[in-house]
Amino acid sequence: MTDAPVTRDLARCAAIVGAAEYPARRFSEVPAANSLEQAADLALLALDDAGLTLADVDGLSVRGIYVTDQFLPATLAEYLGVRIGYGGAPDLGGAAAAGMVWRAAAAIERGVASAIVCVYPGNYPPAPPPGDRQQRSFGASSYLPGSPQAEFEIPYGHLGQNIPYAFIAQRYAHAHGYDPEALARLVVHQRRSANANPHAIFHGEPLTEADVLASRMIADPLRMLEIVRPIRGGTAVVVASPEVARRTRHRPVAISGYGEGIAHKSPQFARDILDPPLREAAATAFAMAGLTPGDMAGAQIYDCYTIAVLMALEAAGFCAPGAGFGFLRGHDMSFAGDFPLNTNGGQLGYGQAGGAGGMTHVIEGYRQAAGRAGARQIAGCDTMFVSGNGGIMSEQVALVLQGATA
Amino acid sequence: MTGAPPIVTEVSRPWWEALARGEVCVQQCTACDHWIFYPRPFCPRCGARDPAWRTVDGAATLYTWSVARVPVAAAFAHLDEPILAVAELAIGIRVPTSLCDIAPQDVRIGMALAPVFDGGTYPGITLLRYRPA
Repeated sequence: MTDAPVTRDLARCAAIVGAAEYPARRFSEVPAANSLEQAADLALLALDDAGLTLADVDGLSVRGIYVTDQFLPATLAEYLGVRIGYGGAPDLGGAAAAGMVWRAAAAIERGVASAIVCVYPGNYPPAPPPGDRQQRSFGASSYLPGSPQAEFEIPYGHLGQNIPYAFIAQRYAHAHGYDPEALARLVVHQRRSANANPHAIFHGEPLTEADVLASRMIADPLRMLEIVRPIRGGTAVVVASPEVARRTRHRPVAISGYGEGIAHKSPQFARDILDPPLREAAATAFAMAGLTPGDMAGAQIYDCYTIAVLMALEAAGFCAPGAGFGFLRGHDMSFAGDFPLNTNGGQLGYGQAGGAGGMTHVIEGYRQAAGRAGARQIAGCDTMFVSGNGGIMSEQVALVLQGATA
Repeated sequence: MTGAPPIVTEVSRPWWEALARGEVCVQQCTACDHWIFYPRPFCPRCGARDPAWRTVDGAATLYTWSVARVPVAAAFAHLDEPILAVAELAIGIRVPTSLCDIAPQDVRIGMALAPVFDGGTYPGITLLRYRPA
């Protein structure tokens, strides 16, 4: 713990002032939306939540629009009818949402904009038409000429996310041992929080550790209930200057610290497969905020897989490298526990709406520090750590959020 | 089409030509001696251009592995729970690969591996796979 104040005056920091998030829906429940219409709807909802209007907007950051491959900020600006001084579309996979937020904060702090809407609709890319060159792209794994993946990974069947995350988990087990029960405990605690969140995909479906350990093996040692469920959703937040934040409706949440790290594309080629770049990202963010992991009232850690949470807790400094299993066994990680972690259920409990999954962590961090988390509110929450994770622990972002001084 | 053959580039062609001969050839930086994989026209440690190709011992140890209990993609659904792996050569480079002649319960990180020059998966291409040494 440090002696730094746990709340933050808004003299220097940009703040999150509003958010929008669709309830998680199964693919069978709702059809795919027009992602441009959805982006505009989410932007308007987030502005309304903040008590702002389109007239206040002078910046946009956006991904997950599938009507075009490029010109994303311009496309959305034209559609919304705004003229902007900042446009972003950070290419960071699951870290893009947190990446949008810190870039927006930095832009605001340098005075190039004062109210930036960060939008991530929750659709998946539509299937390419037959014969399209992207038909052979294998999703996020590039099969285009000149791609190292296309030449050295894909021919052997190294594809997707499950296998490379399993590679990391196996190597972690070799270095530090492996504790499947501790990982199952994490899933169960997050599910407990999901059961306090009516918008979570697994709301109303309690889970036991035995259920997790009996779920189907997908890629040894990863089991099905340790892996996110894809859903439909959609997210947006508004990042504002101190001046704009003061005339919004809710407690602003200052973006007190931020950091980013990119280490590799594929863990097969990582210099050290057990040293994720969140280590540097979190160190930068905590130093900027003048706070430590011990000052945090909780954490929203990107949880595409249980192993990703374990290693993020170590990399961010919540416990020592190799001590993650003991940490998971030693804490109650539900929203009511002594180390509240992924209090909306996380993506393992809420679901993963494509790249918007990363924004659900940002929004839950905002809601907790703003005192707006309802039945799952952490009592007296003033601080929150948020992480984003893209690729295979390839690109990672850390945010330190602080509720503003009343 | 089953699988997805490597898309070979001009820079990497010596790697594939060596595998077809039953050899493993790897780039080494002529300025700092760094071993380079995958192939590039420069050294990613010091930036020097035009690394040299050297024939090396293909023997390796197992760095990490998993089993695809569900197909990784429709194009690979014909493989029955393949053991996918990363092998580390004595010179320190790590190569994506898959294991043969072993069951998942017998796989151990650090185990000694011998190269298998697999010319049967893709026409005109030899893959570098591994089996227990």
